[in-house]
Amino acid sequence: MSGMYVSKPGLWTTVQDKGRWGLQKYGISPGGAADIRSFQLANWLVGNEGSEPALELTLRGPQLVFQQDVWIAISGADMMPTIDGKPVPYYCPVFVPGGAELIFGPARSGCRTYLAVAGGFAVPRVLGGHGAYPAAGLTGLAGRAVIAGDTLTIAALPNRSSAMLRSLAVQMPSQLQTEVETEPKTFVAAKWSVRPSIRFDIPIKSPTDECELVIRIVSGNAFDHLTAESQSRLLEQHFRVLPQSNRMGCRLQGLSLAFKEPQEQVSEPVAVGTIQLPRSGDPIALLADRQTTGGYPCIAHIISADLPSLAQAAPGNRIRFKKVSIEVAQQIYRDQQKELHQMERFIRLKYEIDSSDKH
Amino acid sequence: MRSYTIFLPAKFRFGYNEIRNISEIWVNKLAEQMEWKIEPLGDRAILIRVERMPEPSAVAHVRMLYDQLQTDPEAEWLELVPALAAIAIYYDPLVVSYAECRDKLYARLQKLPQAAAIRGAIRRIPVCYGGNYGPDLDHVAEQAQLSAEEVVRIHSDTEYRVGMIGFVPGFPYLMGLPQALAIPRRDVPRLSVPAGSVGIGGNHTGIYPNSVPGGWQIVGRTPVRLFRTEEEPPCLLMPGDLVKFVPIRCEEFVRMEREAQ
Repeated sequence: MSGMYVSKPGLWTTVQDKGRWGLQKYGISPGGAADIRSFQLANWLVGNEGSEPALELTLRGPQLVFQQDVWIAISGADMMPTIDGKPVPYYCPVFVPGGAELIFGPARSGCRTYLAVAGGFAVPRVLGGHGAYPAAGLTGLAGRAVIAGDTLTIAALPNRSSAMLRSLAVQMPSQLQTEVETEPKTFVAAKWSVRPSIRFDIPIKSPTDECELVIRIVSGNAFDHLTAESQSRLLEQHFRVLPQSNRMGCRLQGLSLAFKEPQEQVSEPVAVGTIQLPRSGDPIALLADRQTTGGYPCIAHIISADLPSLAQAAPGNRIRFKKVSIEVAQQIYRDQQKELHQMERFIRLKYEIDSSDKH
Repeated sequence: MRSYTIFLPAKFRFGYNEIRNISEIWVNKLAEQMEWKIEPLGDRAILIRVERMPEPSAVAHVRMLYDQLQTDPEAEWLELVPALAAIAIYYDPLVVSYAECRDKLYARLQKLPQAAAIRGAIRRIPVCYGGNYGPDLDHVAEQAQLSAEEVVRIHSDTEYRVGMIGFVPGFPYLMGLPQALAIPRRDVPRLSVPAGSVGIGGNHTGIYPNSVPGGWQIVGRTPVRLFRTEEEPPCLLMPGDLVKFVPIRCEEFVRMEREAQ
């Protein structure tokens, strides 16, 4: 047997990639990793291209047994993962020997954790994507989250990745090379890690503690129809993330918002990050598995650069919105992408330097 | 107005491909007082909306614009999403700014032809009305103050235009529901509506392609699968297509469902 066995599934653990784009005209939402930034980082860290299928863990992580030697990387929410009782570090490549059990706990901060394996998980590609999409019953796991007893196959390493990982193994503590031969029982982490310097807003305290996430927004077409009081409430008060939140939407609650007059709207396209205001007066921020169209008025949209942060908001967390212009939003996004690519280059370079050191 | 070319196979069957191969061509003329509105949909999408136009005409114009944009897309566009009275264009903000994207679109709107031929399809969808397949048929009849037979006759005598695909994968919003049958959604949505269910929700009628929670009044069910991941495109219906429901008996439903598998 080879692959990864799920002994406990965690709260909501799904296979995700970068999503299915180009199919919204058929009512298929792009889906994909909710926090695309952490997802990409984890993939880069194990030498993957960045879009290979990885696991997205939600609020409480799974218990997983690796049936083969594997390189992994963990990013996102802190779920205190351990192997043999020893904490496994985040944001660095980790060698895990076959037979080891990786145990995640509840999220101590944030909401979603990403577990990437070198090569990625081998899940059938349906309609251009690998991600679980329950609304259409897509993919290999019939669109569902993983359950106890599942075995996920790990794809073979592409040449480039295996070369990178070999170079890393060479640089690893000497214990790895000796222990690999004698089948080590425990994991070995690389001596370096990436510390995201960019705005990696993961709420740092537990959900019950008071901490506040500032999420930037641009106006939606129904913003002007809000009462003056509601407009200032949207921008000044804090909202609490409700437990009903999921991959479709982040449900928020504060002092309720209202329109000057009832809004009648035909169903229109909605985007990831769109903030809808249903009659209840409590806004919903749409996430990766949103519908493609919606009939509720759109009061605002979360800027692309802050979507990963929103995906890390756990039930009970507090959010405050800050309005920026669309020009500013796009500039922030460009800056952030630049920084992410520098991080990607840093990781690639790390592997190359590691190998050249030995030559 | 519009002219149809209808190709009916000699022996009409309701297989997926048979239904797919019938087409119509109609000509849409650009309205004289055409008003497009362009606005941002967040920081990486743009929305073009048809302003002040009744629904069927708006859909025709959206389809016309969609065809024009889709055949000659800008490099930075990631995807186009047509809806009832609007088109969303997702673009890459690393390549263009909102202002650049908007200006290009305005320029293209100026160059729209005065009239364009639109190729749609005519889909005859078999439906078994009432009973277990249409648990809300009697409720709809009662609300509409009609008999169940009259509801079936009116619903299946009407030609519907597909307004958009949305809500869930492959779900068609069908326009043209006679006012007599416009019944509000159920107060409490069902936790699971079976795949193929034909429902009424306000001014629209539609078909659930998959089994999902839903609040529309279910009047019947079709054995035809509307959404198939193994097909290209995966949806049987597209915006602008015409749909006509054909009542079938329970036995026919069972036979067709068996044949489809």
